[in-house]
Amino acid sequence: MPRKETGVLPGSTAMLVLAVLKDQELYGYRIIEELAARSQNVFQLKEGTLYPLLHTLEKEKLLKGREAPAPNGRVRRYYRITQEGLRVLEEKEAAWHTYAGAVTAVLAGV
Amino acid sequence: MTSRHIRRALRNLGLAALAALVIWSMKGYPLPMEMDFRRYERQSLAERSEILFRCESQGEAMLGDPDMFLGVTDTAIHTSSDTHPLNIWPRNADGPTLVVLPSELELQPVFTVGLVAVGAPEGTATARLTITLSRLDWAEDYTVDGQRQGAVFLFSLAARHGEDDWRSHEREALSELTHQQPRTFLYPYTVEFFDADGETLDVLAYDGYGSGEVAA
Amino acid sequence: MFAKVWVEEATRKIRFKPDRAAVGRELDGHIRDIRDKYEAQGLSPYDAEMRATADMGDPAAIAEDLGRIHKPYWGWLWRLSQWALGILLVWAVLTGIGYVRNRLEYPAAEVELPQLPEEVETRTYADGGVRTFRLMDSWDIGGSVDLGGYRFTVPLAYLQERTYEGPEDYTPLQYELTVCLRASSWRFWEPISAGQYMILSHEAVDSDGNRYGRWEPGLFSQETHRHYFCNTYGDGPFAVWYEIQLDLPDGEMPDWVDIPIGYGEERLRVNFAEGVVGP
Repeated sequence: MPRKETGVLPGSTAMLVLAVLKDQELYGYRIIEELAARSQNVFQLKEGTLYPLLHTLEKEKLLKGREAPAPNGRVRRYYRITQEGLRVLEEKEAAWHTYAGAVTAVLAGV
Repeated sequence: MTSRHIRRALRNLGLAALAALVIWSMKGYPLPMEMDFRRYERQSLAERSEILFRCESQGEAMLGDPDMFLGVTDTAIHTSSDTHPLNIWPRNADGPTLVVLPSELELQPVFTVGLVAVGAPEGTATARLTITLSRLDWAEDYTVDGQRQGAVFLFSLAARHGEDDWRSHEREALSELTHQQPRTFLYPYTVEFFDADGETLDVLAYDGYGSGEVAA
Repeated sequence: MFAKVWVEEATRKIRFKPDRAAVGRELDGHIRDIRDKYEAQGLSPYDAEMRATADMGDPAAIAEDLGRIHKPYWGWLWRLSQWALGILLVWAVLTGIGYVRNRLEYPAAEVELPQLPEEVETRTYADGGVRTFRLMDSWDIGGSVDLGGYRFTVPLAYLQERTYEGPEDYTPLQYELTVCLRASSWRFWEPISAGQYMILSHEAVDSDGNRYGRWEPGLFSQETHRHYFCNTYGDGPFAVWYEIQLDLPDGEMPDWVDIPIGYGEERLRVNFAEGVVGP
């Protein structure tokens, strides 16, 4: 089924966000922290980029968001990956490895 | 969040549709005119007629739907208006039949009643109706030329008395005309059918109620 | 910038209010988390808030993105559905009031469906005349006929001897055959017409060649036809009864009677000898 894939390209920020949410449910602030932590601060996502991305991924049913009260009384919106999101992530991961492998091979052959 | 709204929206629309159904049933399952006509045909176990003629009634326009129509089967003619949704006239097996439309064509400026001749002979170019209206001590002959409307001829019988003594008699008789039943049709009439050269092709004559004939 | 102002700016282009509120809550929560982080580092609440909103970036830019993503179409559908439901509910209540009032003002008469009469029944009239009905015979007629989507059965058929004594000039001895037709359909919005002329507009004939017709100007005359009459009864929203009466002057029962029904050329044959009804 053709889907309009906005921005989940191999290596894109969208792919990274999906990867971060692969095994856990997080809210926006923690997603940025997690991404920075795993990449040793190489990827420092700005809020202005994150939220439009999260909402788009939710609209495309790759993520599912829910509002839940936090222990300190705040209400936060938590995101988790969907079945479809997992499928797309695996696809893009595979594509990324192919791409990265090819680049490495070309550079090595120089 | 948005999908919850979508679900609620669909639920609302579903409930709205349900409320509409309940309203429709409380009002007695009304239907638009032609569907209502077909429903009456079914409920009367009458044959489904072929609609040959439609027009508008000024009188019905005040009350509701102004449409009137006329349908035919092999053995009957069905007429319909908003207030008289099914009227069945027996049809002449061999020859033309004259029926009255169940509601007046016009109220203003001139009170006009419509009559329709069905089954004119082949090659008919023009038709003429002569009818004698009467009430109490008044009687008059009216002659109307027919207008071809598809497969039938329409005769528009208009009142001719203005503000004079015979006006009320004429009005009453014309009103009575729309209420006539085929078996007890009061007024005698003659319908002549002419071809393009003016030669008479056929004449349909009825001598009035009580003469032993039936207006069919 | 104050958090509240930042959030207002950033959500300005989200046209559907509930969506705007939800996204606003999410962004506000994020700002608070950043602010908490700075307050833990020792900044004053005011400075923390200013830094936090600065960290969030340009609210106008994010407003554009969010506006494009959160299109209001579903929101308008929801609004529309609320309005539709509201209007229809009010209309339904108003119509309901009229409907209930109508039913209370003109309550449907409690009509009993026809039943097999007693062996002997007597009716006395004001002028002293007396009619006695003696049940002579009754039949169980089985089978059914489907006409025009309506199913016809004959739930009741009986013959009575009718005698008259009194001042009027009625026939002293007559026999009356009563046949009830029941027409039913699940299409409760178009029940069969319950008019007497569904039966009476045509004549009935029996196996002996007798003709029955309603004595009425334009219909049938006394000279050529035996007396024929019909009463109708509603039987719930799905069925109508036609109680048909035929006069048999000499009490001779025919083998069958053909009863016309409706304004088409339909008729039913009620066969007393075989106890069935057929087309």
